Amino acid sequence: MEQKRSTTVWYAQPLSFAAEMFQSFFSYFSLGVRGTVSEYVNLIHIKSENTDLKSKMSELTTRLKLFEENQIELERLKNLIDFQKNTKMDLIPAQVIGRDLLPDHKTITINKGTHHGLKNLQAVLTVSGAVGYVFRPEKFTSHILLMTDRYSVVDALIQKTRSHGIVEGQGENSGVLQYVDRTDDVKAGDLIVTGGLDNIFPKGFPLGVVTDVERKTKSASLIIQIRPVIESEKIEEVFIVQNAAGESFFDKNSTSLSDDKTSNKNNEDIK
Amino acid sequence: MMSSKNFRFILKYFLFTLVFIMFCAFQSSFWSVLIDFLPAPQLWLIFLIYIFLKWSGYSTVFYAYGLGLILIFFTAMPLKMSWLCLLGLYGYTWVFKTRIHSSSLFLFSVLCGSASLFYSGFYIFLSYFLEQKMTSFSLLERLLDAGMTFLSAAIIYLFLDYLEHFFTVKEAWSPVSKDVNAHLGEF
Repeated sequence: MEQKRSTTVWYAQPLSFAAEMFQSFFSYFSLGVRGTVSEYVNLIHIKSENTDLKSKMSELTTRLKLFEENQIELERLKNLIDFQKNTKMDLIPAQVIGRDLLPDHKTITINKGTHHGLKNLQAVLTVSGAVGYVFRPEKFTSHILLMTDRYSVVDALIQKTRSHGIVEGQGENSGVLQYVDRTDDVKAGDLIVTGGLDNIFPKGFPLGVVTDVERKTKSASLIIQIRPVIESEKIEEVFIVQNAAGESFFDKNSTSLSDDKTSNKNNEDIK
Repeated sequence: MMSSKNFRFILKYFLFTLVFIMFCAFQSSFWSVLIDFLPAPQLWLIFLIYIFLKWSGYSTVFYAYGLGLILIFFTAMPLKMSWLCLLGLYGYTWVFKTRIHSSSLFLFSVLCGSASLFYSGFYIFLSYFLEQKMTSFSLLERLLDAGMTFLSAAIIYLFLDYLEHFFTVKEAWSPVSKDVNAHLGEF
């Protein structure tokens, strides 16, 4: 059998060419449309996926923040429990539930009162330093006069020189140590601790750090500005000292300070 | 047997006292603990300005002294300072009350904002003369306090006015009231 001719006759060639052209054109066009449509569909998918991922991410961020917050709280509570375990004092933990109504006074309100064994003039501490003392205990709540309040007076001791003085609050987040002999060698950065003579605070608990020393020519004593170790605005939990049981932090602080100094010296020797 | 009028009078004072305690507690235990970056509006002061302005009679003065007694449960301020401050605020409001006759809500807010500043100044003045150690003063803090008090005054006014609405005695309207008769009687 004879095979048919596959070549196009001369008069059909333009038609074939036109057909090829149109076919190619529409083929490209369809590919383009398909591509665009698939991209568009992909975009829609990506968009919805993006929305899902965003919501998941925000959820995870919130969880992470919550986790971090919980971790911080856990750390804080762990410190509080460790402090309570390692001290000889009888401590009552309490939570801060309010602050003073007026800007002229610095007090906090806690959720423990006479019902829980609180009395007037009991020391209030946190792990890192003295806060103030109970000045108006109610049945289930108590008001604490912060050491920065201008009505507050606390017996204090300069840790380095062991000179006694009295810390008076100044209303703002600061206090002034008075009645310290002008010959005493006090410098900015020195630690002020509780003196223990007021029968409120145990001896040697950190109160504040010296920020400025004023030597008046006609005065027998120094005027020492101090910054409390505790930021009163940020206190959330406190301890009320029910019984100090002869606890003295003076030796502990001195030991830790001398330990620090020894370790520093050792480090320097190694260098 | 207690009359309806007396009962309403006692209930009104009782309810407003509860509201005052609620305002103090909100300011000291809610706002100060949760929104510590912004000074709290002095809700207790707005409350006092409201009653000084709207209520009349000797009972209000004694009531204010009672509120002064409540106030010291939320602060370390001594009672003498509390009462003297309230007296000062009463005088300040009275000056406004007798000179400006307007029921504008904006003016009430202005009065509360300015009363907050007046209170600060008056407290410093009293502290200077009566206390061994004068109170410290931060102008920015006081201005922010006054600003917050100004901003929240209108809402508190509307709330208190709404509460007071329940205790208002609604007398039947008559075309010729007793007062008008009395006035005519003079001629």
